[in-house]
Amino acid sequence: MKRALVVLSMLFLGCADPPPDDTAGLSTNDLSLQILVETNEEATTARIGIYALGHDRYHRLWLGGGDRLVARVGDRTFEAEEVDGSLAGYTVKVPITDGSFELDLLRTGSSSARATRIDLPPAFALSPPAGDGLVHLERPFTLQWTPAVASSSMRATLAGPCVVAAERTLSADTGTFTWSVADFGHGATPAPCTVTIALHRPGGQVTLAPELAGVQLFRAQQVRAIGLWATRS
Amino acid sequence: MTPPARLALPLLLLATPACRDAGVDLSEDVGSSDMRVVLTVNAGEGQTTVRAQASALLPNSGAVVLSAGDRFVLHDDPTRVLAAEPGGVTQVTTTPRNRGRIAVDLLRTGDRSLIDLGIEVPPPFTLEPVAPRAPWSSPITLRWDRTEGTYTTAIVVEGACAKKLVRPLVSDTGEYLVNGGEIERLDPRSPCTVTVSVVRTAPYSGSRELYAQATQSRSVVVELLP
Repeated sequence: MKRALVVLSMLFLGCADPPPDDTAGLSTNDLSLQILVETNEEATTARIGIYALGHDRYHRLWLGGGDRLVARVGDRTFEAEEVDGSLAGYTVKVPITDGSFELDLLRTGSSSARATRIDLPPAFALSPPAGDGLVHLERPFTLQWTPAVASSSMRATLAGPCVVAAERTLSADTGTFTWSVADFGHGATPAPCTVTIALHRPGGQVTLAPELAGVQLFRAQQVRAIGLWATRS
Repeated sequence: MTPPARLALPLLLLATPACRDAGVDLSEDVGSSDMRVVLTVNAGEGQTTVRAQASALLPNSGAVVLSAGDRFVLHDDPTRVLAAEPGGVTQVTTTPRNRGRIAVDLLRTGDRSLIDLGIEVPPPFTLEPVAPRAPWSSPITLRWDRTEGTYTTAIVVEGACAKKLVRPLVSDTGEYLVNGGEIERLDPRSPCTVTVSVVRTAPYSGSRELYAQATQSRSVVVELLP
């Protein structure tokens, strides 16, 4: 009886379909993408994961069989590179801060998926608070940016070793944000220190190439950050 | 009793416990040693609201509805009897006093009364007036007289046209700027009147028979213009 159970278990385990390690041998319309895009004042970086339809959504695939992932802006192309680490993934840096770019999955054994279009959230320019990059943590300070897009939400963050990290959500973009003294908790080290203030504008959209199965996740944001020397007198 | 009536009575007796809310007891059924009072004191400019609720410290018990003549009164003004709010569990009254210790007595007819259950309210303060109308893109600057102590301070923005915003402050600095963009308005194209409050909260005070919280708050009303 025991032996029969063991044999039965082995049979069932043997029947389980192990997830593939790479894209080789998979049809393009069985592949989906996860695309995370972040744009700063210099460039846009996209992190891309590839998944096989019908398998664990946490199981990412490597590119295999000569397949390539390429970002394209006009006639310029940028090859995606493997991200270091155990989780399969790719990153590509594109020298644009506004507008859109396209992703091509170029395949040898199956049809390629060209022109997955990624529109970035509207770009903006962040002005540092008055004071030549120096802020006093006993006084409020105001950030301003342009252009403001009233319909978009924003996230303001503040971090540094001499303050407690803080995050604020703006449900609407007014083009200005004031940090109050009561927001500046005492951090692990005493002031002065460099405090990084950043503004994040999420948004954008993806238009998938029709050959692909779908998008697991898409997120894009514009980020502008400034490092300020912060003191407490 | 007719046969159907003889059947109906046991059925009614069986059904009654099932229909009763398992979490609510009558105070006459709960001994004072198994009773706890939840006291909430909200002090404002010229009036303090005092809410008290009894609960039972027994398994499968919760709120207690006062019965059989049991009642809450203010400790320093026994003529001020707390009255039931809608729902009948919480009892409420107001007093013009907004500083010092505010306490209630739970006067009981069938058991020991619980006397002088109170909490020290945070010190009163003055919130400077702000412009009654302000462009939504400008921050609302709040200024008040700050205090030392173990109180926590929060800014609360609420109104029918906006989602409630609660901003606990890291420290009481006596000043805070509320950014208009942080106030999530339901219709961004229309003016929106909000109440902006500075709320100072005393540390929780309690014992086996008391759980008490107290706040001191001041508010301004601002119409945010699109």
